[in-house]
Amino acid sequence: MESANYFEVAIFIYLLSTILYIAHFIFQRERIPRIALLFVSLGFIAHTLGLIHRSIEASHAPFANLYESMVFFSWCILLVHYFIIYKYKIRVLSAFVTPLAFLAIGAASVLPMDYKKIEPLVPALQSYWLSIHVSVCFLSYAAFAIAFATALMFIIQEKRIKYKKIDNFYFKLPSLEILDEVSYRSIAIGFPLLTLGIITGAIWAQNAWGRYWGWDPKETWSLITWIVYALYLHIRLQSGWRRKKAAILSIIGFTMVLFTYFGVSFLLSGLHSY
Amino acid sequence: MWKIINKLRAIKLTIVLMIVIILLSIIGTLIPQNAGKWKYVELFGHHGYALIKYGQLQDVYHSWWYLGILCLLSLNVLSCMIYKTKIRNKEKFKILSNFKLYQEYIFDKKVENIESKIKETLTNFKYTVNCKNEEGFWSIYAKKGSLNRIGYYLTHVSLLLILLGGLVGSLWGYKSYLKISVGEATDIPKSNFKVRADDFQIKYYPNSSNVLSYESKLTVIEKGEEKLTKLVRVNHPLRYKGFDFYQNSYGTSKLWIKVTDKKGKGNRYLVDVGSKIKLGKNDLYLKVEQFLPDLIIKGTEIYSKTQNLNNPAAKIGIYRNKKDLIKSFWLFYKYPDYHRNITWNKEDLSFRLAGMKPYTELQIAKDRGLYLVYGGFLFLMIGITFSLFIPFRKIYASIRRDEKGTKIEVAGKSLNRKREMEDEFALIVEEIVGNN
Repeated sequence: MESANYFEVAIFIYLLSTILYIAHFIFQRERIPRIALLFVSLGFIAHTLGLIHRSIEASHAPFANLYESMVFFSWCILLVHYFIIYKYKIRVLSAFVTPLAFLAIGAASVLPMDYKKIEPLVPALQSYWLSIHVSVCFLSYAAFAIAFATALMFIIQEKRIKYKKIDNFYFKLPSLEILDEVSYRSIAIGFPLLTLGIITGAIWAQNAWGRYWGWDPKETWSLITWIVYALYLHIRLQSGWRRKKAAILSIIGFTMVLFTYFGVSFLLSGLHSY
Repeated sequence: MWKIINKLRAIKLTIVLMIVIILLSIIGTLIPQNAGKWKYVELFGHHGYALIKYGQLQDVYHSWWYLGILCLLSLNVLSCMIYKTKIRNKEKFKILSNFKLYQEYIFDKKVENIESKIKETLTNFKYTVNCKNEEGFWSIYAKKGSLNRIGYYLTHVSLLLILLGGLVGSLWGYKSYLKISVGEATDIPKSNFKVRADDFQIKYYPNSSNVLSYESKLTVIEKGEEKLTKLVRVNHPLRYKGFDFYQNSYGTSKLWIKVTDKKGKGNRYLVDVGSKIKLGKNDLYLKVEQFLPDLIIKGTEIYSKTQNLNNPAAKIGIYRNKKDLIKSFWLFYKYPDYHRNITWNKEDLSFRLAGMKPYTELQIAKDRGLYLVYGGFLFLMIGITFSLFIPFRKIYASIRRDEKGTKIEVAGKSLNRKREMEDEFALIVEEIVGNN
């Protein structure tokens, strides 16, 4: 079996789980989330096997081009989400994160064949920094994706409470305090990782091109993203902004992440391959 | 001075500066940077160009705007640190009932030993406890997670270090590009050594046209002595005496041209691309007008398809008395039979492109600020980790005794992870007053 087959299995399972989660919010069936999470985990195993397979096929770390990176991004989102639901016991997070993971790997799978080809590494990418820099960056993106999902849950829950709309969502979502805290904690995980990602990128650039910073669009946008989250932390810790305002800032931060990842790759030209 | 610091430390200023930096940086990625005038005129028109020029938007990141904002941010960060140090050194008495986490207990009787109980409890929760006793009034101040505070300083000092390193690098740093033909040595500017290129090679993946590596074998020569030899490739620069040499580019610098006369006697000439040489005893001169490593012809256009030596071709000009062009023609390395002849003054010469001599292009950099920046990176990582993962918590307590009884007040504060702090505070309070 090729790595792409494993990924197809994972995509199918993530889609199924997403549908199950939607059903969960429409019908009151308490067993659905358990089954859905079990499915997600099966998909995650297939996904992991696929990544291992891909690195063997390509004989390099499985994130050397856009396609591989999107598959890896999806995997990182689920990995960080497992950590969060283990730590905060909010299983319902899966319902919001699984669609994100599905979108990332699904979008990767519909990329044109040219993007999926295994290419040998160009000289600049032949470095152990590739593994460190990329994996750290994507773990940070994933943590921000979780922060985004919880911020979204916060906004939904807040609307329910504000307009006294007591529906399925209200009962299934955790309290505002927990959502606020988890969103903050995810950013508190993502921010050091993003910092490390930028730093390792800078050291790598110094080794490869003789400058640690060159205002390449990807570099600049990662700095912009970094400043947005630094702003979030300052506003939250110093000015005491919490809850809704913080949730909105977290959503803005994640749009910056998405632009740094996709926007820069497709709209602006630079030195990064994705 | 204090007044200025107090103004500069404002968090509002920090936020405004961050937003301005974000906006300027975005502008810098939307407007092409360091392009020619006509590019801007084409994109934004003459008025747009005037505006861009006025706002230094063609090079945002090196504009006075950007530098000014960064300076202001540094001052902001610096004053913040000074301010915090100063207020921390004189912890004022706090009105405990104003805290969000606050509990008070009033007992009718005299409660003994409560001080030691509080101390013990707080110590069990890993707090560092300070006590003060002023005429029957006990005040207790306990804190934990001081590494968080250290993290705060490390993070902000590191930002200053990185900015300083960047400044040092751009003021006293040095960067240039150097072409060295294989087999030759070149003096490195602003140094007392030479670098010789022993070899340059492009290696490919097995059975593929994908490049595996571009590598130059370089030897450092100082005072006539060979100091070290290293294979330099992308990601593997050569470091010597603060200079870094990076593999940057490559090309062909010189060509071997073989000239054969009608008796079959051949001569090989090594000619620089673009320069002229005299041919033997004649008044003829040969010039390499142009060299294309991978010539292809499309319609009337002749150009190089890639940088690789797939179809090396040289355009040769033959001149009389240096300036009168007699004839010009192309020679192809891969097609040695396709040689060209000229007949001149009873001489019959035939020309062949017999070989190419590569050059390697190196980027030389000397960045005096690099270690400041790397130090900043290290501090930044440690600082951020400390300040985000180690919560700083404070507990205040006071005990007041008079004839009527005992009043105990406990208050707590944490900058982050407030929910955890609430739980911890509840446990502490329970333990302190539990048995009474």
